[in-house]
Amino acid sequence: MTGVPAGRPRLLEAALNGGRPRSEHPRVPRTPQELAADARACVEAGARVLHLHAYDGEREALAAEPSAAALRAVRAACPGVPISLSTSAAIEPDPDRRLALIAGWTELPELVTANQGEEGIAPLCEHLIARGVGIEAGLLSAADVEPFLRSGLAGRCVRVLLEPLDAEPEAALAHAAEIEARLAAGGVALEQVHHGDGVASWSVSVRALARGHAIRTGLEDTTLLPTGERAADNAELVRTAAALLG
Amino acid sequence: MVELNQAVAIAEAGDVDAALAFVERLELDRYHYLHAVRADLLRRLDRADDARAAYDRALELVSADAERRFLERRRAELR
Repeated sequence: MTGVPAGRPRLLEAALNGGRPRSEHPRVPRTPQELAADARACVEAGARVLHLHAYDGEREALAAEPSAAALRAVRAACPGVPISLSTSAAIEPDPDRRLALIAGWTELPELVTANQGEEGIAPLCEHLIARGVGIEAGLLSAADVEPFLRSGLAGRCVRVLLEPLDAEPEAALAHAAEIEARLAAGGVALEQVHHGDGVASWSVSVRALARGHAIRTGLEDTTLLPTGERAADNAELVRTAAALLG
Repeated sequence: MVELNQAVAIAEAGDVDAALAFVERLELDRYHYLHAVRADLLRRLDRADDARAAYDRALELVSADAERRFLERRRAELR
């Protein structure tokens, strides 16, 4: 396959929950125990990085305690597998409060996702890099590339996530291509993980794999399989994505 | 495509007929996932011949080999 970076095995990330409501899928894991069980099943299915949002009851949380509880449970179930926690402004929109919550973390993940279009993201990334946490820089649109390049973070991130969330598959593919082109123009050679949302996520994955990039799936990203059926759970999505990887 | 995701949600809520009617109104004939979703709904309504035709249309449009294999397996499972 052309364009596959030499010597870099293609990664499969599992995004276990995100903000996906249970009304859209009853098997979205939330408690540390649920996260641990799904994480283990996903690793057995081929996932090599686990992305998750910690929950405090019904709500997503950035606070130290629920974050630590989720990390401990998933680590015990999947020793040695890197865990990526969300820092999304959708969980705490106030940049100062968000940074304060994360500065209070008592257990650190190997990685975080950090959406580069969000206010206050650069100091948040600087803080976490200083504490030894790897950054997965989230780019939801081509407009996010410019602040990312300006921040000077690119050389210190672990990888970039290209996240065109358009419901329309052709729009999602066009946006993935646009983000990729801007990154190339900006000289960013970081590993790329691509994912979309809903059934369009499979279109995004197929395109990404053909271009030698890594992919992500899980109930955060889609509840549907490429065969048009609802996925039973996270593990079924990961097994399906692993089959796409070949 | 919000609509396609929505159609599956309608089917999961138990109304497969309504989901099928919903999908058949969408103008996404070139999109293989539409035909895959439609095939799955037809399968669930025990309309095997129609489901087979919908899988065939999805198979004409699909480009990734792995996705093709998933669809072929589903098609082969029809009785």
